[in-house]
Amino acid sequence: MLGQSDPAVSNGKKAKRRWAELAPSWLALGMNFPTLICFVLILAYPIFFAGYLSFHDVGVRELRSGEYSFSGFANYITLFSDPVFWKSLKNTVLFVIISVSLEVVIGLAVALVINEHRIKLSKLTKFLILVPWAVPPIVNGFLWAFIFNTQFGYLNRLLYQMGFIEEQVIWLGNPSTAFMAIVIAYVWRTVPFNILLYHAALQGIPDQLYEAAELDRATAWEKFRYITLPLLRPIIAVTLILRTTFAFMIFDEIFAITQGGPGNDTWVAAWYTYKTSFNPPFDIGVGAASAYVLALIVGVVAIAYVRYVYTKVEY
Amino acid sequence: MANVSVEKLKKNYGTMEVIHGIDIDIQDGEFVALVGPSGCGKSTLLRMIAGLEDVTAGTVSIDGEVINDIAPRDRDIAMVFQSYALYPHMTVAQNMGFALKLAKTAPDEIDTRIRVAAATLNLTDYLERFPRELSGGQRQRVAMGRAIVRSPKVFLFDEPLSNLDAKLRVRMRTEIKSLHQRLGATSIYVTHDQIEAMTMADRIVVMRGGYIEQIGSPLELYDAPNNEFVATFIGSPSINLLEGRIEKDAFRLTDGSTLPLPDGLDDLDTRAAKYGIRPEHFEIVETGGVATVKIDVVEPTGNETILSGTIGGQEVQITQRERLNLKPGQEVSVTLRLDAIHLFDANTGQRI
Amino acid sequence: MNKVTWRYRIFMNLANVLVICFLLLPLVPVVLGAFQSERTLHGDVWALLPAEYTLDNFRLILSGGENKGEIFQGIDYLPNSVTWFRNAFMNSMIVATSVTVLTLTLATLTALTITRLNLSWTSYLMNATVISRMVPLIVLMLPLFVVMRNIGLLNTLPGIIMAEVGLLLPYAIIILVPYFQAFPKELEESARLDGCSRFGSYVRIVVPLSTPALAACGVIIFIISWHELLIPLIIASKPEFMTLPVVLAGLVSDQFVFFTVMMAICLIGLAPTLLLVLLLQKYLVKGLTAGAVKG
Ligand SMILES: Nc1ncnc2c1ncn2[C@@H]1O[C@H](COP(=O)(O)OP(=O)(O)OP(=O)(O)O)[C@@H](O)[C@H]1O
Ligand SMILES: [Mg+2]
Repeated sequence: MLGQSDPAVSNGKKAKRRWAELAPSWLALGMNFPTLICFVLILAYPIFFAGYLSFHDVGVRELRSGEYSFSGFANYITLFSDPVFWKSLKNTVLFVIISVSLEVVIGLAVALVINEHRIKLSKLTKFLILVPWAVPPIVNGFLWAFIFNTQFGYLNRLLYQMGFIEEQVIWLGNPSTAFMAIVIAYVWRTVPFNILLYHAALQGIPDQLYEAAELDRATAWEKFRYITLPLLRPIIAVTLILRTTFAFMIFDEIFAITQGGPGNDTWVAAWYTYKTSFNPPFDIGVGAASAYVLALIVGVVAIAYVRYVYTKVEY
Repeated sequence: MANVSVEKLKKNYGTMEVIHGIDIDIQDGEFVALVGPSGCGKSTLLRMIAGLEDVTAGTVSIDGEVINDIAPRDRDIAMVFQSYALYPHMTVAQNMGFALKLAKTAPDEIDTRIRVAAATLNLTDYLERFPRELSGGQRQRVAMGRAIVRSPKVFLFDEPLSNLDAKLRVRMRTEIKSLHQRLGATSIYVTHDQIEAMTMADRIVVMRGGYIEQIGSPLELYDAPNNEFVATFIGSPSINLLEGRIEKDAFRLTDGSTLPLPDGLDDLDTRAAKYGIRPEHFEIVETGGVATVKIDVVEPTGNETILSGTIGGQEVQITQRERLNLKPGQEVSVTLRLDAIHLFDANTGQRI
Repeated sequence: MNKVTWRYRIFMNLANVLVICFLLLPLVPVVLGAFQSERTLHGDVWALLPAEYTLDNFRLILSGGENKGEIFQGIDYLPNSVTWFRNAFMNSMIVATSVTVLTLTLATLTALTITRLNLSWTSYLMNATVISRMVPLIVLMLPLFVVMRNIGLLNTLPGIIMAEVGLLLPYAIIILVPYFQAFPKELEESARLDGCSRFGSYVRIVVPLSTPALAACGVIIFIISWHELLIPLIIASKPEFMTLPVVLAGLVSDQFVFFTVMMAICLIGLAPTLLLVLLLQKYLVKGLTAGAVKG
């Protein structure tokens, strides 16, 4: 009964046109055409163009006329002889080191806490982990600016109510506290990402390992030191590199909290580029040069990342 | 209804050639099994026939028409995968009807065909279920059903039963065979399991390392293997191969003892060779034996007894229909069925 | 595992409470700020909880400055952000939605080629993708500004959308690739034998079965786009085209006068993504994890 298929259908089959399949390379080209255009137009071309701009004299007048005169290394010379640039760079590096370390440490600690599935409260904590990440960076900035505000800020209120201070502390008017305010704001918003990754990695560690260690009479600390930490090493490396590249680009919180102040004490690299290019005297050439220097630094870290994640670590 | 043939077919992955120019001619309605060790290119060959892999050189044709460049969807071939590859987001009925729907078959026609196929495969009660709600054996049947509703020209199977447990595998084996007898469609069946190949196939293609070692009916391969590889591959427990030399009138084992040679071969040159004899071609005798077997292990399976032991220091396995009361360490005298002896060249492995 | 001692239980519960405080406490001032008047805020600079609550801040913002309620009666100067708020919210919605749809479409196409077609150059495409993701936005800003200016997309929503799609595309591809990689090849092949073209098998089988991945990726892209400040800040200088973060950024100069209004705007600005995050938490976690570590 199955063998005798309807003759009409078999005829239909015969009549059907038969095609050679589109060669995979053409299909791939077709499917990637929009992506390639995007990559070229929005990534590749601008990168080269930024390089081009950094070797030209570009200001408001040149932008209008569309003619940029070649200026050799002049922009780079201006840049490297600008003490504010060096200060911004130093601040950036300091910021990256402090905030990334905090992200790793806090991330690990919280991941360990929420990984404890025998405590019911951990479920709620896990559910809330992404809350800070949901806050738009600029909102985050204002939020902390409000907290750290001298006159009505909630930090001063809280410390006063707890009896730690008698009069209002000027958090954002002091270079070191202003800097720390930015670090805290930034770390608060970005640490959930680390927590998630560590948590995922922790869940990948089989319980038997801990049970075996238990039989060997390992203390909690020893279990962490000799089982958890070594097994988390790859993911910690990943987050170190990834978060470093992102921390180098810190902008929104600076914009909202200090605007680089007091004075220029919290200027960072991205802020330097923004200020030089989009504020009078609109020195876009120098701005491009500073962006390029930043990109170079990030590029080195990025290459490390690509090599590490896409060659060594296999999950 | 179709015959399939491949000619001088080659396949390269990058610079590595994994199939080295093979020829197979499959008749209309034939059931052909492809067997061979892992990595020998069975799946690759099957996938080239299906159009899922490019052909590097040579041709694949159906009914004399070269189909190298025709898209898989236009080849009218159905394939049953090892993992079944059922669409998880479709019910059993939708899975079976998918191809017909794509071919713009009328809905009621699709419906009848699904019902007929489901009835054949005992799936009628499961048509509205999703694949994840089925047992392994049922999924396997859905995969079969999906292939048969299309009534394609050719069926391809890539180890369709290897995910099932032993019992189910035997049952499905019979079901597939009877299905083939009813449908009479050309089928190519890849398997690891030589028993499957032996029991189901009209012809078996033995492959190794991208070459074809032998093509023939199951019994041809069993009775007249072309070479040592085919001889060992077919049959379970596998053939005994004893190392030694062919001398004037006897086969001299490495320890100096001799075994008789078949008649009519007396004029062979002296040379190193292997003496092949299948386990069931020994007979245990009280007197007049031609060799002595020292028994090491006795394994009664119920319908037969498998004896493992040594002849002249080389391991052999012997199967006996009778229930024997033998003890490990005992020595028994045996005769051999001389017409069932295969001699292979020690260097080339070819049959002498 | 073995049984939990009560001491450990107390310690872990305390730790959890601490973490929850860390996550939520910084949001409390926003809420408190948004529901009180400027006068209350200035009234007692030491009080933790405001003396009285009001909804006037929200009335003002949501009416675009029309409805001054009680507390803004006599005030003539209002920050621009208040009048531009509604329009900016709409713009943000349009931008984030378009960016999500476009990015998801392009990223799916590319991730499919990278994972499903074995071509030599697709691996370069993947490397290019990973590296592109690391390019500091600030480097692209200047040339993008100049390019957009030249092609007349400065001060347009399409300009913002285009720039964001370009920048988010690599990330989306990175998130999707591991999902598609794990997708069994046989399903697609089976579909091809059943009568689909290669592309058809993607559309009919691979994509429908990847909806969780696509959802995860989509939400992430939406959120990042909703958060993006620098791109619209540079491309849109006219109020009609500003997105929410840009309008918020305009508050910088007003923050000493209108803290409570600002907090109300902030609260509305973070509400959509906060909701998304809480509702779709499960998908997000998978997507974010997949995007950082190869699948
Ligand atoms: N995509 C590929 N790229 C490179 N080499 C491949 C690829 N697919 C298969 N091969 C190689 O081709 C050879 C044949 O593989 P094939 O899958 O056909 O073997 P098989 O006989 O089906 O094995 P098995 O019984 O294990 O399924 C193997 O050596 C394999 O390593
Ligand atoms: Mg195979």
